[in-house]
Amino acid sequence: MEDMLYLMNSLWVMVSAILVIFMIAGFIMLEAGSTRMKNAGHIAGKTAFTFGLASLVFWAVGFAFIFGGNANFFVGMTDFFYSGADLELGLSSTVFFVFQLAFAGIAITIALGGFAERAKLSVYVLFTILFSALVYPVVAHWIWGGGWLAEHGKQDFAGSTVVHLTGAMAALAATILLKPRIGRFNKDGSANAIHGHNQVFTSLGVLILWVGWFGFNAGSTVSVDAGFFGFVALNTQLAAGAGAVAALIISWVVLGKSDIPTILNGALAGLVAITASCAFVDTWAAVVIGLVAGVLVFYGAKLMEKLGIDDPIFALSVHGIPGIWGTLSTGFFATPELATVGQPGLFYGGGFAQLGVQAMGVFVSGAFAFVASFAILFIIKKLLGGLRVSEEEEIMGLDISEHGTYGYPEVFADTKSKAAAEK
Amino acid sequence: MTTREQTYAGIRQEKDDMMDQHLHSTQRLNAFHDDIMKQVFDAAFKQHEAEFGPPPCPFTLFLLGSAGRFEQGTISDQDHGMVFEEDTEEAADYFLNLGKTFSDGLNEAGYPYCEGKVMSSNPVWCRSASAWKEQIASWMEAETLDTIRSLHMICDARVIHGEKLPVTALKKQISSVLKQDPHKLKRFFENIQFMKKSVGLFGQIFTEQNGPHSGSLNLKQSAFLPYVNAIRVLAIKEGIEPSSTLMRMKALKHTAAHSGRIDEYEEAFRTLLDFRLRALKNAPDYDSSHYVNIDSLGPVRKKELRHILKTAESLHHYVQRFTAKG
Repeated sequence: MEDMLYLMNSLWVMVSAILVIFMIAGFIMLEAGSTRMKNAGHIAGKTAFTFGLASLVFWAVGFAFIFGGNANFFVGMTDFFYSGADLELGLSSTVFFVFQLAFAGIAITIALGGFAERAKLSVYVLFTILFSALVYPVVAHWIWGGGWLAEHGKQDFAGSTVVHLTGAMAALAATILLKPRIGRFNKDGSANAIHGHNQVFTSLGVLILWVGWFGFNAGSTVSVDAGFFGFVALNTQLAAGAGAVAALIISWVVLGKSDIPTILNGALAGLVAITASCAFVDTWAAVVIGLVAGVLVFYGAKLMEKLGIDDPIFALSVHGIPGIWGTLSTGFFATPELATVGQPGLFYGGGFAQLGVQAMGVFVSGAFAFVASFAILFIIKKLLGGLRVSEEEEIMGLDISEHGTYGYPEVFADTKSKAAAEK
Repeated sequence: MTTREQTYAGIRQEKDDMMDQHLHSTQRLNAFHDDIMKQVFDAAFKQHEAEFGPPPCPFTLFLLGSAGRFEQGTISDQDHGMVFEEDTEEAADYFLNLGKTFSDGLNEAGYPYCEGKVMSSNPVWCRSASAWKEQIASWMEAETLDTIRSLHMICDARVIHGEKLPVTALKKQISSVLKQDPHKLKRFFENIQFMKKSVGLFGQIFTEQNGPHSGSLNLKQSAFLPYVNAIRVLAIKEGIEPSSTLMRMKALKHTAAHSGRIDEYEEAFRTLLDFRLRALKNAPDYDSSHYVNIDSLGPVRKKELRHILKTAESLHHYVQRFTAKG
């Protein structure tokens, strides 16, 4: 029987790992659809590449830093270059490794969203290595690897803080250092919309992420015990739906028209927010958490614009602000029965204790991720003499400037080369 | 002797110099525009006569669009047409050439060419009386969005040179069809049915979200055109000849169908004209003159604007119900 459980757990988590990896496909569609045609090939291709690169880093050092023994304040220090050795978990250790690797891949992908349409390819390469080695593992260790926040009973079931906020904070550092894309803001500070080139891609990307999220959240049970993953999936779905509904309503009320990118971001914001709380709250609370996230994402995007921050694919308003809200939400809504980690929330007689822990966790993790990412990028900037492609390259697009070919060659290739191609 | 370039440049100079003195009222501003355009036409006509001789038959030149309605702002592009008596090829050539000379002159005097080519230099808008009659009948028959739009244009025609009668005849031709055929009237409304919603459920005003006019309302799109379009539909159905919105309102008040309704709309429209004049005076350029920054308005002005927008919506619905009834 115990053998059976071990195999079932392993199988479920492997399926979940594959779902999470498939979320990279969602990011490819989402990011490419939300940006311009001249950068489409670059954005799609680099997203696949950086996931690959992050995997190697995770194998070499990331996993060890998060889950290794002999830990110092920041990271663990054993199991570098993971060999596949059995770590005596309730499931196959290699499956667990692949699952965790997928999460690290998602975090760096979110972070790189803030670089879109203007960073040099070399910056992507260097930042992927350094973020995956030095930023993500520290926060993950603190909360999931038995670090100091875990000891405080910080609740972050599947990573609103660990994955989404960490990624978003790196994106924030990047977008501040990179500065806005050409044409995003006018001299008087007013913003121009730089529309994505394909809302169908963006929508499909969102739905792929949505499906993948069942691996992300429900898979984070890392066991099939009592079929609890079903409850987590239920909460996940409710929050996503509520986020989309709230975003449609708020954009309709404020703009007079329902805005497609806002609706899509609303669904994602609901998912990001419920990620921390999906295992700790009742279903009605999942709906509330999603609704709030859907409103936050709309005003979050407005706030970024006001601050003059160019967030091309909404990494900050989708993963950052809802990530914070989701983490805090367990401090309000965690029920006594479900709070297997930490304590019940404010609305369940837990007082401010858990809310305090959540707030501290968000603040310290967010601050660390921002400062570390900023420092890394600052050093890269000095090293490479700038993070950003030249003005001319940005205008011609990163497809041609960084890779020499277009994602949409028929649209951009000049008539001469078109004629040559047809001969 | 002055060359033709010098002539038009001189008119342009006069226009640019004097414009500021005519910004007090829509009335004065448009009388000023008329004066300038007449000068341009006289110069063009003289030049044309010197080259091609006197006109082969009587003709009428009319303005369209905002100029036709006597509702121009400081700058707008040119919209005009011509109707001439004799249906001959010789006359057609003569007046088309005259139209070109006039249109080039306007352009040089600071009224840019119409992108939609609604100009008497275009054979579509420069025809003999009988050809116009056929054209209007066939536009009416086709009743596509494009042809109905052209008919809407004709309804705003205002004569600035020649006999008025030929243009009156064209408008009467349209009116008589709309009076008899409720379906055509409905098509007339459908042509202008799209209206950008500008006031929300909670009385909030929807402004531009992006670009240099963020936070501003496009007064022309959201307020001005809805009034103009809706009143035009009512007026043409009632066979009302004048093309300015205020004149049309005045005439509509004397009709059995609308007498009780128009006062409210007229009052709001007058407030709107006042709003627009202020915006025109303060605007650094033409593009900005259509926009009102909501945050810069005091609570009273804001309330006024909200009233203007809501009344526009109510007028729009009124005309929709009216045309649906048939």
